[in-house]
Amino acid sequence: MKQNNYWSPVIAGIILGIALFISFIVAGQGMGASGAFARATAQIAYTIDPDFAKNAYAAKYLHSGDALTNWTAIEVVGIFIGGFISALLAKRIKPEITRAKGYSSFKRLFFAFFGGILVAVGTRFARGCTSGQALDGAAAMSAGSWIFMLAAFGAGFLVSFLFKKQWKGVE
Amino acid sequence: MSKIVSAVGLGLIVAAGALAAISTNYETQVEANKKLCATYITNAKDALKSGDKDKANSFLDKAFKLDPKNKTLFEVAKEINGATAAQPATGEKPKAKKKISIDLGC
Amino acid sequence: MDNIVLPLFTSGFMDNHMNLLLAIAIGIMFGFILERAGFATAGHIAPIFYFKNLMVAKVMVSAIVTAATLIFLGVIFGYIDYNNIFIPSTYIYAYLVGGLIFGVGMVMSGWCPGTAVTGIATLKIDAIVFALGLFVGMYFYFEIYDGYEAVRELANSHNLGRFTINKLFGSDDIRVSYIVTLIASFGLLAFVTIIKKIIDSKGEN
Repeated sequence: MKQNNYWSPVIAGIILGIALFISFIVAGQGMGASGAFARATAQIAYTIDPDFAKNAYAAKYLHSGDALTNWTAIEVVGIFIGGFISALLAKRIKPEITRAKGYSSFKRLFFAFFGGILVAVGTRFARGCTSGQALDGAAAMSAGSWIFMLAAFGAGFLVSFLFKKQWKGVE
Repeated sequence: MSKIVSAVGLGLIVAAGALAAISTNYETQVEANKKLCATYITNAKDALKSGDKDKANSFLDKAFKLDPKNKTLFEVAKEINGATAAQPATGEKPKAKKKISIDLGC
Repeated sequence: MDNIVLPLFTSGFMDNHMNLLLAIAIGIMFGFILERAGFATAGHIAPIFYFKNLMVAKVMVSAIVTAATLIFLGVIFGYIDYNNIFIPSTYIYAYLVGGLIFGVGMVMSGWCPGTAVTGIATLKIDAIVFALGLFVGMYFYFEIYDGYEAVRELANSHNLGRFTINKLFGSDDIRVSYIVTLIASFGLLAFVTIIKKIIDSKGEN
């Protein structure tokens, strides 16, 4: 990991931990992400077909107030802004498809898409993602979060050989 | 250089936590909870003075979770809801609004 | 500071509007840090699964240790009401299955939802496509959850509630949770570091 002025990992982690702490003592919850996508999807589906409010899972979101009052949904907008500002300052905004040299863009995007489907399904069962469940949960000293974290990284490691070519030499 | 800063930084954080863990005991936690409970009760009284019974009850709910045996709690509960709502003998919780808990995670 | 209990919002010391307003500020903080740390590219995320770049583990462990320490200190010294720190209920099998599926998706795509948002902000096309996949996946889950009893069963069974680490050891003492968190976090870091050293020495990286 050469170029660029990225923060060194442990220092970045300490700063992230402080931010996590601030989130907890202000809002009572940590910084999440997947919930926003679930909320947005429920909203989009409902807009297309109001009958969707009868959906057993989406109903939980749609009956708890409009999308704008979902903390995580609003926080995710902030993530976008914050990421953008940091990248802008560091001149790291550039359209690209991250992949190994010579690897098919189509294949890469297919895996990105299908991986997204799997990640989404996983987050619904696990009530969170690496931010909301692993990071936040472990920081709040939940035991369940470790089940999720170890399962996720374990599974990822076990099937990683299938995608080796995609990532070869990538930085 | 950053490796040293990282190690020292993380080390200090862990040291602070470990020190706190070693130099305290379960009683410390109990005392901390009692102190928080008292703070909630103070706020409940303030809320009652401003006429916000719901808010006062909400504070008492939280106080109850931290120190169920707190006598002042039941006295304040009686003030808010009248003598029938709080029954110290059976340890009855002060009335509170039911919250719909949505377990959707993050 | 004397009359306040932390967390501000869940303990009743801040109204919902303010909380939602601050949500953006907190998000901005998160997004900024993620990008500064280098997570706006899948190229820094996927390699952890090959033990090639341990950045993910280092950042996560440091963050968990830091935040847990601060929360622990806040609780033990009477500033934070631990009951009001949100922890999703632990559904054992759902978490396990969810984690497995998530892990496969993460190594396949090189993203997770939070980092993907920063990826989108920096115009990574694979992040944008990943996000489209997220929407499809969410919708898919809504349908199978609504349509199949078995899915609901899996998702909602074996609910251990707010399952903090100390409960696992039959204790009420938050110090147990904290110490175990330290051990697990550094244990994880040590594990990936050792595996990386082994793989490196075999010349496979």
